[in-house]
Amino acid sequence: MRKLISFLVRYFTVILFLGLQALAFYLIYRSQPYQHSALYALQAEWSGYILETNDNISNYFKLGQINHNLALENATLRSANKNAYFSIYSQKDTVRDTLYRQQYSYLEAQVVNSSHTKQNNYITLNKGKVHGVKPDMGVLSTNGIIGVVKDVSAHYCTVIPIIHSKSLLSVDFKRNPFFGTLSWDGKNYRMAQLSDIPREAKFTIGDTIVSSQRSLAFPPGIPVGIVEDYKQNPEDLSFLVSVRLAENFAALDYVYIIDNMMRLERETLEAQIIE
Amino acid sequence: MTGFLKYGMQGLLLVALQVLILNNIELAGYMNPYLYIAFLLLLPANIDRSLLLLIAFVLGFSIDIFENSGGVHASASLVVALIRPILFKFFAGPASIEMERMNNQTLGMSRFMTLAAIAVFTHHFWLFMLESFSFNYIFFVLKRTILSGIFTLTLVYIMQILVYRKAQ
Repeated sequence: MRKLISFLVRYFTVILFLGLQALAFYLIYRSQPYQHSALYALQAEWSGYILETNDNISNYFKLGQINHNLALENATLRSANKNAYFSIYSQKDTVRDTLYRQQYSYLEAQVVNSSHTKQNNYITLNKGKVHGVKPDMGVLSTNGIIGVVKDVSAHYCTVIPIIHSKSLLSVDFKRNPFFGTLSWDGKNYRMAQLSDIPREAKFTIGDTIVSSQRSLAFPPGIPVGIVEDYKQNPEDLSFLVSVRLAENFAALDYVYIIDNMMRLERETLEAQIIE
Repeated sequence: MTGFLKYGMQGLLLVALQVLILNNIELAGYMNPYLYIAFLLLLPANIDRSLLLLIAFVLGFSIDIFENSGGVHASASLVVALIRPILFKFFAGPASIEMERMNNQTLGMSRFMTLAAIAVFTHHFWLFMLESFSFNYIFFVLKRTILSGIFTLTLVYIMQILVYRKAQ
């Protein structure tokens, strides 16, 4: 206590100066509208800045959870999307009823391993048998088609992406009904090759290539890439098209595995023809 | 008691001079002398520091009342009151505590004017800084400080010559 008093006595001048100075500032603050607003703005800016920084930092730590939630929500939304449903009414009926049966369901998955520089690239996803993944299911991302599930373990599955030398994918032009087979020559992971396009097909550079209606693994109309270049085969005059892939396989994160619920039915039906 | 009255009269006179005449001089729109600050320099050198601060506040605030400027003059006067003992010690040495007055007689004209210049420029800079209340106009503030400061110092010089010539 004595120390405190001696401190106060010793620095009384300074304390008095600061006190009177504070009083002067208060008087300025009270009387001058400009200084008032300037001080208020400064105060608001600082408190706002601190609060915003705090929010940014805490959001950063929540990013993992936020991404996961968004991917889950996307999977739900895609399952609810119209092209995930199969109409049980024929198109002849002009009454469009809301009675649809779901044909495709989506399962979100994360890429845990992938390559894009080899001839035969693979992707590993963190979903497996326990999640309901089966071989030959389609895999896509927000940008477009990734590939097809090959092997499935209890908790993981491997995917043969488009950029695999043995990958074959049936695709359509978005603008016209011609279809062909997409394969990969193993050179550039951004480009794939589309062959067997008949000579009468009409298309131009920049046309969108989408998944085929004939596909078992994918819903129709999922983007695959765009036409970058084409040349004609001198023998049968069919086109060989270079396709710039929609997905960048060097930057994969969240993907969706597609379950075609009517696949077995169609496979069984089509198997009878072959026999 | 006579000393108290004498300084009181001096202070009142300077405040009156400031608010009635000098505040109406606005050369080029922004050059304005603030002679009242000289009162703080004329107070006895051995005055109690706390008392000096209180006097400075009252002096500045009385100008603020007439200029309707909140507390900018009070704040600037307090700064001068704070640095005054340091300046006195620097210009007059340890003997400053025993000196009754600081003027061109006791200190010599050039030393007194240097001391006054430091005090005046500090006061003006602080004052104009508070008035603009922003670093965006720092060059304008410096310009005002220098031009008004020279004006004030000229008046201080004239005052010194007029008041203390008789004593010679």
